Amino acid sequence: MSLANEIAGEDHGLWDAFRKGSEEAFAEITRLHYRSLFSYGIKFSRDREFIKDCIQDLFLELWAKRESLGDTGFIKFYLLKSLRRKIHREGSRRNRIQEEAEPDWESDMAVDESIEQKLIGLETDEARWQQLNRQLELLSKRQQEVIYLKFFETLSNEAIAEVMSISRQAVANLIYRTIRELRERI
Amino acid sequence: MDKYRGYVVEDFVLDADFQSWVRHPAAEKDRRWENYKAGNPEQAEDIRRARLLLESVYARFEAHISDEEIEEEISEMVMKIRQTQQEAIRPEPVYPGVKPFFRWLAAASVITVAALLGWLFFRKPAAETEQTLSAGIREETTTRQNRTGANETILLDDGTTVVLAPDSELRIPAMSGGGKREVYLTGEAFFKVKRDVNRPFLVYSEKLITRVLGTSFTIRSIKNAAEEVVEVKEGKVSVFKKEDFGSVGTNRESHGLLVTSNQKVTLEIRDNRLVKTLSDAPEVVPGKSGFIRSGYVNTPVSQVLKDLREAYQVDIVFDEELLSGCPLTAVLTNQSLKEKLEIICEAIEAKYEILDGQVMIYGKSCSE
Repeated sequence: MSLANEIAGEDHGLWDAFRKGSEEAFAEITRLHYRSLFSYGIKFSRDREFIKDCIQDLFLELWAKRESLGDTGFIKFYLLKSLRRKIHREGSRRNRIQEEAEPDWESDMAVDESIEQKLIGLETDEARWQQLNRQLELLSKRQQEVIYLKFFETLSNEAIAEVMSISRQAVANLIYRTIRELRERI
Repeated sequence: MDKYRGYVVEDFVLDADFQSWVRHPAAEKDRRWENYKAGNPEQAEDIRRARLLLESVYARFEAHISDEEIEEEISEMVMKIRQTQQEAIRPEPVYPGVKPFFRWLAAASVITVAALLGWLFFRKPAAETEQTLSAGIREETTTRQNRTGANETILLDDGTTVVLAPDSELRIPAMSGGGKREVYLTGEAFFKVKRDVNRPFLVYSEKLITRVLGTSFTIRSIKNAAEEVVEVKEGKVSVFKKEDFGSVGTNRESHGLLVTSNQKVTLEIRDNRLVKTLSDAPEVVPGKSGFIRSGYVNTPVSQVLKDLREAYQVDIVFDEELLSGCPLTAVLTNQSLKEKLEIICEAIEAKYEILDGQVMIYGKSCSE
């Protein structure tokens, strides 16, 4: 799917209403994207309130400059990219995340080593599921992010490249490598 | 489905239709894929693996945030927008297909007060009762009626936000000067109550009074219902029958019922009885989803039950000594609370019962 097609999928009527200052449109656009943004954001910091603050700022900023926004917005893509930038900037300022070139992709699951030991030799789906989880845990932050954007947000490689500020080829390579690593576990 | 011939795991996981089947299962999709598998047995293993891979990815990356939590954020943002442009004349909504701002009220309310039986008929006597209870409604009382098709947001003097649904009415006595915080509701509203321990916030509905210190919740009052319900999603409120409320000062806890997360209280109008039960569909309390681990492997059931207790903030009563010897291996992230309890009980051959808003687990020792 090309970027143009993804843009075409957005609701122009809603977007126009938003730009003209409709509160209902504001609420609806926020509602459409909130869960997705939160799911994405929470991967960078476990602080729910911090992520909610960032999302609020994001939408309020969007509202403040609604009149100068373009005719069409690939809203989801724009929001994901902006949120990523914001979390990084705010996070560094507030010391919520480490001062790094890239935001942290935090993991919220700890799998006990001994559990893994117990699972060796088991060939049930449950055991495979655990192993997969373990493997997901071991993926690099970028790999986890790319998997999230690909499978959860179903973005095109082109859009992912834009969001993560890397080349399209790098996205394709990263996805391919990640799926290969995961399938070795099943 | 011809394009799938020759597909391997990598191709399946990247296919939009395949992803949609795993993520949003439906009978029709199941049939289509089962047929395909039957016709192409050599690919069955790849399909199975691809499915497993996606399932684990979806389970892992799912963020737990409730609809109410999102709606709360949205109403907060809308309030902020309004504050920045208070003088500006609001343009008419121009987007016709927009859904009701508070459609979530129907979904899972934080607190639901349902009822107001015969509201029109009893309106006058009810108002008199309220007058005596609240030391009189002074002249400064404002009445907000929402006769529009959309929700209306009201900011009270004490900082509490109320969003009034269509066809609803809220009467607000003046709150300035450290007076009482009370409002009278007919219909539906969402409340985000500003915390003030010294001044409890009271909501009067037809036959019930709900007392809050500070939390966010929703009240829905429906006319002509046979019962009045207060349902708590998060936090803690006290619910009183109006006739009992007067005696609160003398014997504080005798007549009110404390309702906490995932509990509801029903006033059955016919026999005027308050009954406390578990909510119909208890949900993980916002911010508590971390208590449920992504997978349990040989974990003592007592520990699993404790995790559920924290996540749902619901009392789960069991014999700890008895059940600590029962190991459980299960993934408990995606089911309802009742399904989770069924899975657990099946695994350890126990039974559960919901009694007075608590969950009772009856099991036997597993160590014999």
